[in-house]
Amino acid sequence: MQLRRTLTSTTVGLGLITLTACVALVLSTTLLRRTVDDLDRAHAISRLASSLAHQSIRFEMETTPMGRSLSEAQGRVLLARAIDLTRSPDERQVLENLVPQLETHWQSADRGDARLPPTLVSALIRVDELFAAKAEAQSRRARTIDMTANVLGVAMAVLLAAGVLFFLWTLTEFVFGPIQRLARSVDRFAEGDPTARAPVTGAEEIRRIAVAQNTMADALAQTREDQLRYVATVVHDLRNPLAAVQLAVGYVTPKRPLPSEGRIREIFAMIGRQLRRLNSLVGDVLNAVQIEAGEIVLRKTTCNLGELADASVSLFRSMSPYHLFELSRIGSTTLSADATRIEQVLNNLIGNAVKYSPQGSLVSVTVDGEDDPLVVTVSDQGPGVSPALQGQIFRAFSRGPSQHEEVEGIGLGLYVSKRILEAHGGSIQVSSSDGRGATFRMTLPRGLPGADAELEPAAALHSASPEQLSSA
Amino acid sequence: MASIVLIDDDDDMRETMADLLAIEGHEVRTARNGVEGLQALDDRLPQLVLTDVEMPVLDGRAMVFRMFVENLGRENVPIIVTSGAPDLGEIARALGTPYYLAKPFPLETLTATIDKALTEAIPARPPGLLG
Repeated sequence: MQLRRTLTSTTVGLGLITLTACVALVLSTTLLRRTVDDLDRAHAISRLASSLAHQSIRFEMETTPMGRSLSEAQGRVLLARAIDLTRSPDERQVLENLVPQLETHWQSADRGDARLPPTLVSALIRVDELFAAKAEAQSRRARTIDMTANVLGVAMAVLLAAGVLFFLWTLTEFVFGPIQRLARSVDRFAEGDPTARAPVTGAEEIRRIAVAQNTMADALAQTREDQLRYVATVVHDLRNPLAAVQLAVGYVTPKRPLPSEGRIREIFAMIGRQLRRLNSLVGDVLNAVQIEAGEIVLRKTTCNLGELADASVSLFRSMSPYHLFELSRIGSTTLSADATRIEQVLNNLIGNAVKYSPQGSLVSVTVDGEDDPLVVTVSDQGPGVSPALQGQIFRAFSRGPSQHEEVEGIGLGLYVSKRILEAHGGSIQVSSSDGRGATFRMTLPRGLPGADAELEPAAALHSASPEQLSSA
Repeated sequence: MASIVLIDDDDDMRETMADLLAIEGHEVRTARNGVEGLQALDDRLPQLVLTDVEMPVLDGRAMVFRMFVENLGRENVPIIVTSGAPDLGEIARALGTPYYLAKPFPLETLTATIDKALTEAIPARPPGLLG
């Protein structure tokens, strides 16, 4: 459920109930007031009719002309007030029907015959009864309205209370409860419990927060795990050269004669190799840490990518005489870049190709300067990179001891290379199908202000035919 | 003194260790990975196997498991595992061998551990494979 929708609909519902209750209250009081008015009027008319009957009787008993005139005047006032109180034409008609009889009665006195006609008395009594009955009907109506208003009022109150209770329950169940549980799990995580995960419950908005919190916690846990594995890998890789050097100390012990001079030379050459390896590993770690901390500083100069690739290929050709190397250069390969860093990337890619492919296989390097960006590909005939690994190999600290394989180093080379290329505005990808070797493709923007490839004849010379370098 | 098969993928480490053990008087045969190690065992059973853990082709763990399950007499050869991994103790426990050497180690520790393994000759019994 969505918090916003629920809160809106609950508020609208409660508002509607309250509004209905208010309207009902106003309507019922208005209706009640009208009914009571009608009741009062009917009562008054009934009383006036009754008084008129009494007055008619007294009129008959008056003996003096003065008394009759007074009584007649009183009677006329009573009749006028009664007619005045009527609302409907029917009521008025009922009273106006009395007028001729009353007139006849009042005028009869002048003729000296003031006898009250029985039809007038019964007519007055009927008017009295009629309005008394009306008053009774209005009274019953008033009671009904009162009862209905009471029932409705109680129902509205119950509905409103239920609405408020439902609202509070919704808040507790879907908002406060989940927020408290979320807060507790965040606290536990903050206190150092890496397994603390927020329960995904409650309103959709809170569930989203919980999912985000859990994703972040997973990512942090993954990073922590990666770092621990990375430290284990670093330790493992640093201990290997250390072990060889420490063991070599065993050659010189008080118990035994020193080895031959030739053997001592071999041992020290070995120690030198292992120390260089140690130093290179320490450099790798420092490099990765610096790059991870965002401290990559580029010292860009105008340099030639083709020549850098050439130098790197030559280096590995001398180090690994049993591999075949092929280098092709197309177009102008000059660009603005940090030559040392780019050399590091090329050495890493070509070094990987050498490390991962069997002796006697071909390592092929192309430098394409036809377009901007420049493209370098490094292909080997090794076992390739499985699709699952292709997404991981550029991540820092992703290589665990189980992936150690036949390769030295801490597994940071590709990560460092990717960051260096990205710092130049370039990129790197790998394409590979299992068992058929791997091809790393890196791009570098030329980055020369206003300079165009065709303007450099020295570089263009190389585009005539791909230069082939191969060992032996 | 004793016949030892030494398996390590690092050339310098393997050759230095083999040389020093030969100076100590042992008969040492070397291998670069688990597969070569098993071949050396096939040729002739040694009195002791000294193996690295992280190796290409077939690592030390897989090699020890195969020594155990293939039941050709290799399962009775005591094994010393060596590694620079921080959790070497765990690895040795998982392989069921009481002998392990955390890299780096001095020659004296190496010879002391070899002497101990040769004297006690407790073979590896991987708990995971014993059910």
